[in-house]
Amino acid sequence: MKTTLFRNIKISLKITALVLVMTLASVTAITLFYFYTETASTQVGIISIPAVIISLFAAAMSLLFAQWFMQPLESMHHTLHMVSKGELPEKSALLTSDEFGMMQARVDELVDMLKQSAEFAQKIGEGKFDTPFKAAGENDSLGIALLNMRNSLVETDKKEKERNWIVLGLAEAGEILRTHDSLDTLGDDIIRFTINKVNAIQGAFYVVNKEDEGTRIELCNSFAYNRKKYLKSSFRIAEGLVGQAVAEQDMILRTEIPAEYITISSGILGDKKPSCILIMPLIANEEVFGVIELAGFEKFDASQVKFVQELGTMLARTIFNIKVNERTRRLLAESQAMSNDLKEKQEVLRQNAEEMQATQEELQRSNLMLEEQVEEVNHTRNRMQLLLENASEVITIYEENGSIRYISPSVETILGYAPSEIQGTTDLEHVHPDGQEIYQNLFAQLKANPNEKVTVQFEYKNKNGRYIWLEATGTNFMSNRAIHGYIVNSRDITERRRAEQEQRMRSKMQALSENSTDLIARLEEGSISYINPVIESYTGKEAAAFINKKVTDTELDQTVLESWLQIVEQVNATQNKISTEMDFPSELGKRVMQISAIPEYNEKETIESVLVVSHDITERKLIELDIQNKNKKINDSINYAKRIQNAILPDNFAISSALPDSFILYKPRDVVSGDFPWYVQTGDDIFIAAVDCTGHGVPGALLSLIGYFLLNDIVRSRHVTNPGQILDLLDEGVTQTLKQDQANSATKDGMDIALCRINTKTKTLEYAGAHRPLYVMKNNVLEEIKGNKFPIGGGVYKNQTKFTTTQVKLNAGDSVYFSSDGYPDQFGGADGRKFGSKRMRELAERIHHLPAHLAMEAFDLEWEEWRGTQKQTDDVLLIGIKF
Amino acid sequence: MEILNIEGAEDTPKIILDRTNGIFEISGRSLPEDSAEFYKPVLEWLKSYSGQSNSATDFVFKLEYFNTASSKLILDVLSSLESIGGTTVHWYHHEDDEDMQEAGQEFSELVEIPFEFRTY
Repeated sequence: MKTTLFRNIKISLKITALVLVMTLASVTAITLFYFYTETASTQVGIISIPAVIISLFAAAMSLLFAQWFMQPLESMHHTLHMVSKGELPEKSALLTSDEFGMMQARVDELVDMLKQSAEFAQKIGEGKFDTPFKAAGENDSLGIALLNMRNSLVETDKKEKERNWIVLGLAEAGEILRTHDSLDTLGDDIIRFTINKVNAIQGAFYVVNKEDEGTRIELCNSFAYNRKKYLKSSFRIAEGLVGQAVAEQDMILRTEIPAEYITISSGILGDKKPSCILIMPLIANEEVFGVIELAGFEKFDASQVKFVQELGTMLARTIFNIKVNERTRRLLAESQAMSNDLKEKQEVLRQNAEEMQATQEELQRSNLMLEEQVEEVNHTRNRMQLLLENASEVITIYEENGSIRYISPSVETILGYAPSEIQGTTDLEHVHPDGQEIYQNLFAQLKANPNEKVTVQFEYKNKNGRYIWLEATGTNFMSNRAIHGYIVNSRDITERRRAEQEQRMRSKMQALSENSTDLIARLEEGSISYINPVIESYTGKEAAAFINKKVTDTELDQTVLESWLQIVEQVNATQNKISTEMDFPSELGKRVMQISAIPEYNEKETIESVLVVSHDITERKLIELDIQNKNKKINDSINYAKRIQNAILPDNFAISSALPDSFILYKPRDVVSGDFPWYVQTGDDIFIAAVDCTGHGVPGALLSLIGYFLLNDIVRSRHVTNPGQILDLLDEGVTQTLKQDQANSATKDGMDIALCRINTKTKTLEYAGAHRPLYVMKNNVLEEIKGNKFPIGGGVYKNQTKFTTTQVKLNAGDSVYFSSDGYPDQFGGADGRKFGSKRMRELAERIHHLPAHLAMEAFDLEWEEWRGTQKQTDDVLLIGIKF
Repeated sequence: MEILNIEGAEDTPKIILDRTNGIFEISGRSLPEDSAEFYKPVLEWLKSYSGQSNSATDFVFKLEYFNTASSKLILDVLSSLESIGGTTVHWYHHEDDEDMQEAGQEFSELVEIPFEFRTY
């Protein structure tokens, strides 16, 4: 109220103020006019009294006017104030007919209209959308708005209902879906629910199954379906309407139904076609999981379709989940199955592993055993091989045709052949020709008597080509399937045969010994292990009295047993056979025995016994003695003869005075000699010769006398001086003396000779030789003067002529050498060859400058060294003269 | 005809006279105590052979040494061979032994038999 009051006051004041202002303004205007019109006194500040009266009047007027003017306004203000406050006042009582009253009527109308609208709004608010309401006019914005609001609310309500229907349905469906986890039962319930919900008459529920051979849409559940032609439980994508819906991922809502599409069998309806089909693919995440097919007699409205669509999405998710669950379950089951399977397999594996372990261990054991066995077999085989190699027998398997299939390795040590050389061959050729028949007979016998062993002996050629004795024992193994041949075991019996032979020999020896005339005893460690019966003839006691007795215990003569024991000791000491002689006092008197003590060895090569063979040489001894006596006589005789021969030898003194630098190397082979030097000096002529009579010793000496006398006769008595002539006469003389000129001449004897006649005055030398040359050293050159090629005597030689005389002029320092053939013909040297004329000449060349006695020493030494230990071949006579 | 086979010794030569196989040989050293006696069977054999000799007789002398006495007998042997047709003497001497070579030559001059000289 206060506010209103103030406002009212303000309005009054405003009006008052307005009047005042207007008054003031008019006053002011009068005043101003006054001043300006009265020549104006110039006192500005002085208000005139009229002005003040006017002003006061004006003021009172103003207050009155304001009071009149303000009352209606105040009422309207009050009403409008209430309206503005939402209050709708009753119609105001005070109505004027002026403008203010009209204004008030209009305000009342407004309030009325506002009241109606409020009422209408109230009705709508109460949900009474059918409340009649008309807009106040075309421009009644509030009314139109209210109508629009009502219509809108009606629409919203309808939508709300539809939405609720859908939400409710979906909630119910959700409930159904929740209670199912299997497509089969789910489909059944959900299709039943849906048909009821959307007022359909038929329904089918398909599930999309992705299979290897392509995606198929399969009928899962149906309700009240009675298809004929199109009753298919399975579609491919794009096949039929169902397939098409899946393919396009969009629903199909059709009212034009193919004629044969669906009929509904119902007792009530009869065959009546549905008028609308809704095929809704169940899509989630842009994938089709199934299809719902609904048919109804009326067209499905949008909300129904919407419901089915939303249900479809939900259903798709559910199918997806169920499928996922199913798959998960299946996978789980599979996984469990697999797991179980795995467990089982693992178990099996474990068992297998255990078994394998066991088997392996068993295997290792058996392996080990096998290895041991193999090793054992190897050992056995090696042993066998070694045995076969070192066996003393050769084991041979012969085929029926005689060829060798197998031969044991011992063949190498026994026969020298490698098994490979022999195998596959026949060895008949190795058998000694004498034994081949025996060898072949062996097989013939084996064949004839298969159950008998046959043993034969024959000689077999070993690899070295030497024949050895084999004893072969054959067995017929033809019937033995493993062998099917002849097995022959062969042994080298060479040694055995030798031993047997030795035994036989020994027996023979024994027999010989028993029958020997020699006394034979075997002494073994001081005992007599054997003595032959000869002992009886020496001792008068049987051999048995001596055998197996100590030598010292027997009744042998003390001399004998001492000698025997001494001899045995000697044999043991020297390890050699001893031959000696001993006196042997006996029953037969004093005998002389030649003893051969032979050591006998055992296998260890030590002396086991000594065989003492006593040969009675008493008689021989006597003969020997006789011979010795005779020999002595002969020797004496020869020695006597030698004295005679020596008498004819030249006087060395005479020669050395005539030829001071000369030598005669004279070496008779025997006591007397066939060679002799001959020397005669008559006047200025010196005759000197080396004569070599055939033969040596006594016959030579006899001939030498003939030669000596003949030469002496020719030169001394007949004064022949020409050497050739001398030899002619000598030849004649010998031939005559030995009667070799006679046809039945018994002797071929004669002599070779080298004869020189040296004249010291004329310094000439004349030479003639029979079979002998003269070597002349002149100025260090050796000249050989060959004698004639025929001898003195010995029969008449073909082509024989007179002997030739060769003259040589001598100078001081020259030297000559001539000899018998004994010097060059001496055997000796390293090869037992003759000294030779060449060597003799070379020697002469080498030593001719030496004085004669030194030259002789050199000739002798050289010759003796050549001869060495050889016996002298012939008499040696070499004469050298230096001028 | 029997074979004459005399084993050689220190002082006596080895002698083989074998008609069947055509071997006639005297070799070695000849200085027997009694050469006439020693060569007697040889000369007798040759006498017998001369009546039934082979068409060719190759007689080999392969002597190292013979003494003066033997030389007379060797000459006798050669003389016996003279009467046997188709005989050739093969006279061997050591290549250093000129005396033996000369002896052979002397013998070849004394008998009417072809000599072939060879060294050993």
